[in-house]
Amino acid sequence: MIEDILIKYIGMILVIFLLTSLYGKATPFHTFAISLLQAVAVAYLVVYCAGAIYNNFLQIFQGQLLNIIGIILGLMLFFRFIPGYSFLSRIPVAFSAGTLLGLTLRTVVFTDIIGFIKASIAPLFTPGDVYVNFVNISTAIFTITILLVFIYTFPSTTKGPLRTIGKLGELFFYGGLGGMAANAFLGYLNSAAATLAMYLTPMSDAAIFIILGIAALVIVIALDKRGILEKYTE
Amino acid sequence: MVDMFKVMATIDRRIYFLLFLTIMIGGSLYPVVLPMPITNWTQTFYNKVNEVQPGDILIVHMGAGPEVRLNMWSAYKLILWQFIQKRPRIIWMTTWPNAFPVGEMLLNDPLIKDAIKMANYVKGVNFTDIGFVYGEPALVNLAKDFHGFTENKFKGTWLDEVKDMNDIQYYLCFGASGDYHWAAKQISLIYKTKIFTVSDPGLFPTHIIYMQAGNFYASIEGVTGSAEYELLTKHYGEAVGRMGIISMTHLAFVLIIIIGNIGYFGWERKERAKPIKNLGEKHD
Repeated sequence: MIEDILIKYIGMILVIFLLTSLYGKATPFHTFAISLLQAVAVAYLVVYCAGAIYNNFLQIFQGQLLNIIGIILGLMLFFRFIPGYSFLSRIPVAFSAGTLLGLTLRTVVFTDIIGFIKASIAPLFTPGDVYVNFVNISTAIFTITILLVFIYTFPSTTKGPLRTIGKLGELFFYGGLGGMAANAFLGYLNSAAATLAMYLTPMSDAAIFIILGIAALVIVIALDKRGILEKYTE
Repeated sequence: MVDMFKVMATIDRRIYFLLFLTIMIGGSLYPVVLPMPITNWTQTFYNKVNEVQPGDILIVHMGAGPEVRLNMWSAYKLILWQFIQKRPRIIWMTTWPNAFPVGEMLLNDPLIKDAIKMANYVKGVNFTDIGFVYGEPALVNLAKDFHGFTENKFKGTWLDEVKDMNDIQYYLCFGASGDYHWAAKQISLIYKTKIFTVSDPGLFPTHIIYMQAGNFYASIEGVTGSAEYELLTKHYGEAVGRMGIISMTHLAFVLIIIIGNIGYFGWERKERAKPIKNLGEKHD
């Protein structure tokens, strides 16, 4: 119970620290919160992975000899710190990247190329479903026009309706990129809204949050006025 | 005279952030309830989970980090709860170190704990945690040879009937950003397992494509899906309450996009086309 309360208020303080970046300049509070997150994440990973590596090491004595290769490849990464031999650290990276690429390539053509083409082929008119009709028709128009972008827009010699269609496709293409960026940003806004909603209920917590927020802002402004904000940020 | 287009194009970004902050704080203090229809995706997902039969085998792929606790928790919790109501046998696996505490939190949630108790789940009998499945290559090996990958640790248990992924009927991917991709590439194409995925909002368009291509059996967008699932399962909680704030924030965001575009086409575009003084060249 006490643990939950502590976690909640420490979380609230760290959220306020992060929000101080809205002041428009880097602040020591923001730097502290970010550094703390990185430190905790790295510490957790190191502890967890050390345990996993130790278990894999023990398994060598139970006959899992392939683990020796894994451990040797892992240790080879440390060559990066030895001048003159740092190139050896590329071997394990190349080995894992190559293995993964091999596993991926056997299916990715079917899932991410043929599958996506298959998904974009749909009946243009489904009686009684306006939304599905809208999605399918716009998918067909966007697919055809955006494909034409690469064929007819960039060569400067193309003229007439093909170029117009290509230009239209270019607009859809940028619209799609804008939509993806907006979608990603809205995702962050969702997280921000959910975080604030968590710390602003009940009303007593909201009062604490607002008071702490104003206090942090006043300190940041005071540090900035004295010209020492940057000094404590690094 | 004030050039409104210029004003729209040059509004200080901090004002926008302040606007978002005000809406979020205001919405939290004075919740606004807006009408919310159930989307087709969520309804389909819900209906397809209802197809699960007692005794079917379900893999729960836990790959999400603690950030899901913020706004997708209801979806995670209620989807798992709905599956448990159908009494499949469950294989639990974790694919990222930071997903272990999330899985633990989920299984210790009072709703899930009660459901597990009611459905008579017993560790090793109809619920088995196989631990850490470290990455895509590991998933490939697990799918190909279950007991080989798990070093025969589960021989002699109910998992004897699982030889490879074809023996597993359902795969529930509570994955981090890239995990669903592993399921699409390494499972959907090769095995007949039906894949359910829960997506964060930014990646949901890709999930829809995978769904339409037949790689995923059903997918749900986690944030809106949380609120919709609360409505569908009648477990009203935090997600429905937050949808008002989220909708208001989205509305503000759309307004900002409109203002920014009007400012761009009314003023900024012309300004950019002007040659820079003394240079006589266009600037970007």
